[in-house]
Order: sequence, then C-alpha cells, then structure tokens
Amino acid sequence: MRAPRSALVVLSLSLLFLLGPFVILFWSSFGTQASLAFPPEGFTIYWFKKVLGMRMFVDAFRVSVLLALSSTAAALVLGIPAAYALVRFSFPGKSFLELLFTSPIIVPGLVLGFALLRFFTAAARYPVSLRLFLGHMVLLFPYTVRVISASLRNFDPTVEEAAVSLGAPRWSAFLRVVLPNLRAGVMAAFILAFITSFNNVPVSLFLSGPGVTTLPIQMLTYMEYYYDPTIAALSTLLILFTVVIIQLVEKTLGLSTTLGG
Amino acid sequence: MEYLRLARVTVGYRKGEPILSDFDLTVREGELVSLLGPSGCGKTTTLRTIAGFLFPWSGRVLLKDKDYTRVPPHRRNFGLVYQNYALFPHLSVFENVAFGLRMRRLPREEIRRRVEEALRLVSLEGLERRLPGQLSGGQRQRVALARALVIRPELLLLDEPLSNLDAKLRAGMRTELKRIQRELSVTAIYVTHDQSEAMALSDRVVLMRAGRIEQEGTPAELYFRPATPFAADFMGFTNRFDAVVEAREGGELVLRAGRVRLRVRGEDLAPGTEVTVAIRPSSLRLFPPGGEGIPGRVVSHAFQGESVQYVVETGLGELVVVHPESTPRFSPGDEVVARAAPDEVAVFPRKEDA
Repeated sequence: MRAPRSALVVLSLSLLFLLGPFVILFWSSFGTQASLAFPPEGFTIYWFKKVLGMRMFVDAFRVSVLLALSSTAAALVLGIPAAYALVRFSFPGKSFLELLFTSPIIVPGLVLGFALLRFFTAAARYPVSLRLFLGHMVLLFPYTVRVISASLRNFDPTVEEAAVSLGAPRWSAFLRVVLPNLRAGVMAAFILAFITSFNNVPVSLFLSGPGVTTLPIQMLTYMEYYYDPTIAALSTLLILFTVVIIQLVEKTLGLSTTLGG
Repeated sequence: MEYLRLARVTVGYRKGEPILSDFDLTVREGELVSLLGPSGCGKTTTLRTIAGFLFPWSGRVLLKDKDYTRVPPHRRNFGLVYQNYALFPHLSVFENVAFGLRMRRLPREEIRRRVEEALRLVSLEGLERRLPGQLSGGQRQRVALARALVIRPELLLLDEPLSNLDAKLRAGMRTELKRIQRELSVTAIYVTHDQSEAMALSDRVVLMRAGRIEQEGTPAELYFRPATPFAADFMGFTNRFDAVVEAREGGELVLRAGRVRLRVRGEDLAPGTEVTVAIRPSSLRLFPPGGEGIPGRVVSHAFQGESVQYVVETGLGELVVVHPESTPRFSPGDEVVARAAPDEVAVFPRKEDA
C-alpha cells in the first residue's frame, strides 16, 4: 500500500527537525572560521586534529569510557539478581522496592546528583573517582533492573523448572538456562546504561572534582570560555563513536532483537 | 505394590488458602495414573507437590517408603513434561536431552549413547543439531519426553503434555506415549482435563474436584459407573433430569419423572427416594411414537460424520441424542420416543449439594 502524501510530508518534516541539528553540527565542524557559524566557510580538518591533540578532552574521554564501562558492569552485576528476585519471588515490601528502583528515573538528575554529593562528601569522604563510580552505579541500577525484569518476564519459568527437575540446583539452572536466554535483555540494558552514563551531566556535574572530569562536563567547561568549531568536531566524533558501537552490537547480536526484546 | 503415596497432604500457594487439604493418593509401580478434573481442581498442584516445587504444609510424600516430603526437586530424579514443552531454547536437541545426564556428570561416551537411545525411542534420530525453534510442536514434545526419560526417572510426571498439539497429532502422540510408558514400565502421573485422553491412556483415573478426589478407578469404572452427579457430568452423562423411585422390581428400579416411566438397572434405593438421572447422549435411542420411553419432538439434528446428533424437546427438558448413523432418520418436527439402555443410566439420590 502506498503511503498517503500527507504522511510523507509529516515524516519528512519530523526527520528534518530531528536530524537538522546534526547536519548543521557536522557541517560546521569542517568550517575555517574561528567561531561557530552557519553556513561555515571553507573546508578544513584542523578542528579534528586539534581536539584529538587536547589532553583535557582525551583524558576526559578516557574517564568517561572507563566510568561508563565499570558502572554499567556493576549495575548489571547487581541488577540481574535484583530483577530475578523481583520477577520470580513474592515477598513483603516487593512493590515498595519496585517503586524504589524506578525512583532515580523519576527524580530529576540534579536532585540525585546533589543528594549524592552531600552523601559522599558529608557522610563518607570518598575520592572523586570512587564517588563518580558509585554515583553512576546508583543512576544506572534502575535502568538495568527494569530492562532485565522485562526480558525475565518474557522467559517461561517452567523452562527453569525443567532444568531443576533434571537435577540442576536453582543457581545452576539460572546460570545454564536463564542467563543465556537473557542475552538480548542484558545487551539492551548494557547499551542503555552505557549511553546513559556516557551522556550524563547532572550527576557528574556534582561528583566530578579536580583532575577527574567526564567528557560532557569537560565540554561544558570548555564552551564557557571558547566558542569555536572544536566542540562541533568533538561532537561529530562522538556521534561516530556511538554509531560504531551500535554497528558492532548490530553485527554481533542483531539490534532489532536487542532493543525490540 | 504401593509405589508413591501422598499421605494427608495439605498444600497451597497462599497462607490460609490450601488447594489440597488432607489429600491422599496412592500410585502403584509401573501404572499410568491420570489426574483428571476441570481447571482449578488441584490436579496441577498435586503434580507440583509430587515434583517438589511445592512443599506440603503438612502431610508426607513417600516413594518406595522413602520420605520425599522435604527433598528438593533437583534431587528427586523425576522426569517432567510440560504442556508448553519448556525446552531450553538456546540448546540443540542433543544438548536438551543431554542436560540431565550432564548434571549427573556421566562420562561423555555414555551421555552420547543414552541420548541417541532416547531420541531413537521417540523417533527423532537425525535432528540432534536442530534448535527447539526449528521443530514442530509434535517434535518439540518428543524432545521434552526424551529429555525427561533419558535420566531413567523413578516417576514420569506429565502436565497436560498433549494440549498444545492439534487433534490429529494428539491422537498419534497419545498412542506413542502409552507405548513408550509400557515399554519402559515407568510409573507415570498424567494431568489432564480431557476425559477421552484420560480414558485412552490410563490404567487408573483419579477424578478430582475442588481439591478432593471425587472418584477413582479404572477408565471403564468411571465411564460406565460414575459415583456422583459431578463424575457423571464430567464423563459425558450430559442429559440430566429429576425423578422419583416408584418401585423396585427384581434387579431393576422403576423411576417416574413427570408422566414418564423409566426402567433402569437398580441401585439399592427405597421407593419414594428423589433421584437425579443422568444419561449419555449415545445411550439414548429414538423410535417412532408408541410404547415405553420419553415422548418428545425433534427440534434439530446435526450431522457429525459417523453419527447424527439430535436435540429432542421432551416433558423433562431438552435431551441430546447421538445416533451412530450417517443419514438422519428423523427430521425436525417429528414425534419420537427416546429410550435408554437400562444399564447405561446413572441414578443418584438427590442431595442439596449435587
């Protein structure tokens, strides 16, 4: 069936609205002027060279990737058993816990960041990198719990029971039968959590400290002083980075099953 | 020989709401017992208690006089087959069947030999490398059966294993299931809500209702001599009406229902007793008007292949009659008399709860 013309018009306008900013960003990162302008003049890859040579960005990128990887891994290690307990068992206080796990999604990031700052500096004097790690873990935990709960709910509990009846203790049945079938859910949770951590500003803003800063915070700081295509070039690189990651996942697992499951 | 025994088992899912109370069940070695009943009667709860997924609140589960009440399910060595197959979707047919053997840490060579043997038993040789998603429903259920049997279970527990298959496949699998159970002489408990399935498969049928045993016996006993109106209804005695015992003559009872007299083979009931009469549609025959029987008028008929189903309006309500004929002998509007074979009528003294 052919799509009606009006639908096509709406679709193109939405796409223009969604993709327009990226096109402008992409284009202006190749401009020769020293300040961001559109349309840019000339063509250069100077800004790319510059941004890759800037210690502050390279260091912050490394911090962001390490932080995103470690806090995502931790949130998964804690989130998988938590989701399992929430889905499979009923116990007093279960609905309260379910609500608690969604609260960091509902609570504004700034509030969470400020609360964590108070907690980490006032209650416990943790070093900056540790509090960033813990803060992001708290931020990501509800995401992993929710995504994995959803894929656990789709997994027939009798399959697990069958494994138990064949002689596997509960934990072994979980490792051998449940976990392998949660692969798509775990992958989806991983991507969601990684991107959430990597892009996070409000929590990192409060918890960053001297010497240890994440990339988004470093970019914000830079933009307070300079307004040149460096940031545009960096953003273009980040988009590329994300596309590559998504491509890798797509190639290895199939994105439709990952995000659709 | 008594093999499995549930002794005064009380069990349920939520505190204060037991599904089974003081439930007793005995299964003999090598027999196939069906737990039959409508949904919610407790048959699956019984199976899950035997499997060990539910621990009794009180009472005991004994197998060969060993107390299994507190033995966790993974140490029971019972094979389970589910309605939805419950295969491991990420493992090949071979690995699905091998799972229980790997858990028992058997040598690789023995695992291979026993898996092949089990797959041959269910006629699935050659499909070892397939994933469950690449099999048909019937094949999946065969894998599930092989997986449960390969561990040489002391009990085979089947929870509506054929319900997801289409009618034609179901009949074939039923025969095969019976053959395999006989061949291995494995003691089996079969949960179903389908009375014809229970009839065809079982050595013994346990009819359950609301957490209690309504009646147990051989398929023939349940089929021909239901002990209660509920059992009768479940066994297909769908025509029901009220009557009064008028007299006892020899081995027969004479019943009166409205203006109709009926002779049935007698329970020992005193004249004057109010009774419920239940008759299977296939136990009634229609005749042209005249003589004894229940007079009525044919309302409709429906062709069913090897039989014709009539609905007859009578003074006792609508009766359904099934004749083994391929062309209808009566048409809507015809006056008829329905007669029942005297020994195929079930009669129950009327009680308030029936």
